[in-house]
Amino acid sequence: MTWDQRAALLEVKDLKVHFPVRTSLMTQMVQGNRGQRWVKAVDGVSFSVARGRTLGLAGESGCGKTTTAKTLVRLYRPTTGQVVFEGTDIANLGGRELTSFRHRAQMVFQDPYESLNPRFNVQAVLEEPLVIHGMKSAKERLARVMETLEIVGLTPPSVYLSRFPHQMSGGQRQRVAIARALVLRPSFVVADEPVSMLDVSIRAGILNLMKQLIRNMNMAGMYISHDLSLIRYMCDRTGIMYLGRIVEIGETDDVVRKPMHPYAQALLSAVPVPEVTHEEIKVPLEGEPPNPVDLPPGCRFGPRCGRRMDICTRVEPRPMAVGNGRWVECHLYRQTPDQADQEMVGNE
Amino acid sequence: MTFSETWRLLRRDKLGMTGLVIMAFFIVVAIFAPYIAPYDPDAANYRPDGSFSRMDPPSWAHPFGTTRLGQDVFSQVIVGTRVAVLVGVLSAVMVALLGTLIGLVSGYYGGWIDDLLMRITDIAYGVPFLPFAIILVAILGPGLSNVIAAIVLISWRSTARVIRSEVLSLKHRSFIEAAKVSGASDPRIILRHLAPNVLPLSLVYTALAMGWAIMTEASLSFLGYGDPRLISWGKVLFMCYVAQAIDVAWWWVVPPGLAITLLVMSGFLISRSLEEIVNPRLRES
Amino acid sequence: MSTRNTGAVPILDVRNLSVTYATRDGPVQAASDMSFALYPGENVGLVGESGCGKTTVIKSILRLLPKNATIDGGGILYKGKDLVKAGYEDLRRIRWKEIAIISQSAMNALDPVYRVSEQIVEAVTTHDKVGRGAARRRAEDLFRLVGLDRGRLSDFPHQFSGGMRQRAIIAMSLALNPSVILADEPTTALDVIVQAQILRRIADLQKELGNSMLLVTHDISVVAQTCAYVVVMYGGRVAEYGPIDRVFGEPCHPYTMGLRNAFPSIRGEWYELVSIPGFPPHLLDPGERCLFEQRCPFAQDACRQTRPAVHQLHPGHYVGCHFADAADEMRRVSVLPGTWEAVETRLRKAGVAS
Repeated sequence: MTWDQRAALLEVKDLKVHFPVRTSLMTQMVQGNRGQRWVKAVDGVSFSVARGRTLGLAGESGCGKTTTAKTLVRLYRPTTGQVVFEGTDIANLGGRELTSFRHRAQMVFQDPYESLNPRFNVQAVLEEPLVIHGMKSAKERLARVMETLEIVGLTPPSVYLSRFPHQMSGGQRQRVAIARALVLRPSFVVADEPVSMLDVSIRAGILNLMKQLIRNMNMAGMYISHDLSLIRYMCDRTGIMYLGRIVEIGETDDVVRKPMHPYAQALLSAVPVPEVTHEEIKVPLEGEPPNPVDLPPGCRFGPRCGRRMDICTRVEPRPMAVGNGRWVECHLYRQTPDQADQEMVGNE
Repeated sequence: MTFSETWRLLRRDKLGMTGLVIMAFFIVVAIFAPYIAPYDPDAANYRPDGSFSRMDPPSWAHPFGTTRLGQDVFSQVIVGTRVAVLVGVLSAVMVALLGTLIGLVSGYYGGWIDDLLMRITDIAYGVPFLPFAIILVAILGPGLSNVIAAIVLISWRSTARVIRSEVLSLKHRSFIEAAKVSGASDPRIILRHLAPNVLPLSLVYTALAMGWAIMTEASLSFLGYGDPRLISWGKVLFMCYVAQAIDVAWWWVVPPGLAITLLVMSGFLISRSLEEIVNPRLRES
Repeated sequence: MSTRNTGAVPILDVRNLSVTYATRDGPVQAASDMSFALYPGENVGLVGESGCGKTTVIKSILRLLPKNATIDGGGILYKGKDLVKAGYEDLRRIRWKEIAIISQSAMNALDPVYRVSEQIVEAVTTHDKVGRGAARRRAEDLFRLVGLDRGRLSDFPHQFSGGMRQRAIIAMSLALNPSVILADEPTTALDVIVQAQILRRIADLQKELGNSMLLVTHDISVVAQTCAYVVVMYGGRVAEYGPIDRVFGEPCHPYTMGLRNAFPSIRGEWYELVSIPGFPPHLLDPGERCLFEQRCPFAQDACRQTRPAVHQLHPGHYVGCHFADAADEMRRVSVLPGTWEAVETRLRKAGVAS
């Protein structure tokens, strides 16, 4: 299913990423593989991203948003499902095909203090991907590095080439990390909380830079954050994740202004606003998400949901189209059987 | 932690620098041993009156005295430095390489490779050091290379274990993930990204291994399993023991004993101060 | 809510506090001439970026500054008693029992080898003359108050999630019913829903127990929702201090205006974010100039020559800017897109890139 009018660059279909729960050697010997339990970090998500557009994934820690992001750049291998990138399913690529995919899909990590090798200077950081992908001429590489530094606003570039990470500010490091992601001129970039470690006054610079790059270089972008106000700022489409599933996805404006899924509503109402409202702090939900190993039957949000119905404890809700490219996984928006049939067909 | 930083911190540490100076001294002595040694260490010497220099106490002519066979102890200690330094350096380098490599591979790949390598490490830990070395040398025959082999085959275990745990914490840092996303191959990540970051830690164990290696070689030689063609400190002590002169000729015992102590200690001192540099938590206390 | 009873006496009164760190490169003025007050039952926010001196202020109040720091001016009056001059015994009594801290790092402050209950009971009995049974009952009450299941009192810290650990820390901090809570980034590491839960619990407890809170954070959204007054810090000094409606509604310091432009909101119309170009100032020999001058779009010669004094602009609203009187005009200009770009260009020419 393609939600976007434009052709999708990346299309994810029913992606699942499960990790085995490590048990002691003793248990393994006694039980063999029968007792193996799984952390269902990502448990069936589908979405697509087109060039020039940015999709945001929001949710609390442990909801699977980072695992999804890392699977899209193949740091993890999908357990099942498809990740179709420019027409090729990259889920099980290996060898040269995987390297060629890596040329086109990049990631910006959360912590610029951790994501740059402390022993590499800026030039070494940015040249490495070029060397790996076979740009043999040192002159050509240097030109590309300089050009990329210029693009990310580290000017004049020659000043930065020989700097080591510890000689730069957090904002500068994150710009170098963005430059590393861009140096191969990828068609897809996913950023995982890229400003959460930075000081407030300089965050805007990094956010605006990424917005502008995704537009100008016509890339498809993904932005992962627990902060919905940042997602709103950055993204055209927004997906809300809970316990490994996207419970609601749609145009950012729609989702932010009028969230439909009870969890999306809760998450949005908890986001603090920088204006003085004199309202008491509302607590939309008590407790914390359960462990993604032992999922409740029926709707996984059911046990915490204020609008739980009888059906929610028995039947897992399916994604339902509610118009304007928006999908919600909740029995509240259950359709007539006709619509449900159509939706099933659409899902195949 | 960069090299220049490590070096800067090391220079401020008095004990570490003492160790470094002692080691440098012995290395220089080892290199120039033939020029420093006043006599042929194997040759018998004679007194001015023409009599045989049997067990002479220290004098101007023989600063550390002579042996039962009239050999100059000073020259023997000087020449013996070569074996000590050679064994120390060669084993330490090999231990560091082997241990670091096993640690890197085990920690980075994890899974069954890690399980296998760590079980082998556990087994290596279970083997008692000196008896193993004696048996190995007894089987393969005495000889410097066999002594070194015995040392290396046991000593890599602690380096491997420490490097592995360091790699385990490093490999989840996002610069490793970033390198993977850039398309870096496993060997590239291990050699270009992980190895330089564990190197200072690996140096700690190299210095330590050096101390152990020198001590082991001395022990083996003292027990008579040394290379029969070479003079080493342990062998000087062995000869003294065989001559039943240990409680008589103190000058035959103290110089090689002191040399062993000093060189081994220098390795431990360097290792200790490197460890403090690598692990800042130790620096505060 | 935002006007103070002029007759009341502040419970914590920080007056002209200056703190200097001796470093290898020379003295660093981490806090200078800091003044603000906390009244009973009130919340005051202390906002600023990393390195602005927030933590120094907190540590000065608890007198937990590192050895190379000296308080070289001013006082910290707690119920009329100057903490700067207080002796060790007095301080020990006041810490925790009277002034408690909830900090981000405190999440790791629970001792992993003891059960949570033992740690709370221990804290209560060392400071208060009550039996273990009474202390245990107090711990149960507190667990209920912070929204933790009583049955989990006997758990070890590692069995708790981050949010639960933070709640346990709050329970411990509040165990002795302190008059003042110093909350140092209490929810920064937590998800928004858990954050709302915890902020709400603290607010409820305050209503019940009547204690005041100094909330230190970089997140102006959290301050906007919990505090009556706010201190905006820059370079170890007060940039702006006053009732929250005034400071966030009609900011009079260019830095506060810049901060407002840098924060996205989930409500209202979408607006372009603008960052403040440049870097925070070096507090090693800062000279006589205004510390914000380099990054300020409104800087004049006067700003390069003298450092502005913090003065009262409206009753209870203090600003450290030479041109605070022209705040209306600055506010109008500060939201125009070209304003901060001009600073960026100026800094680039001077060879400073952000």
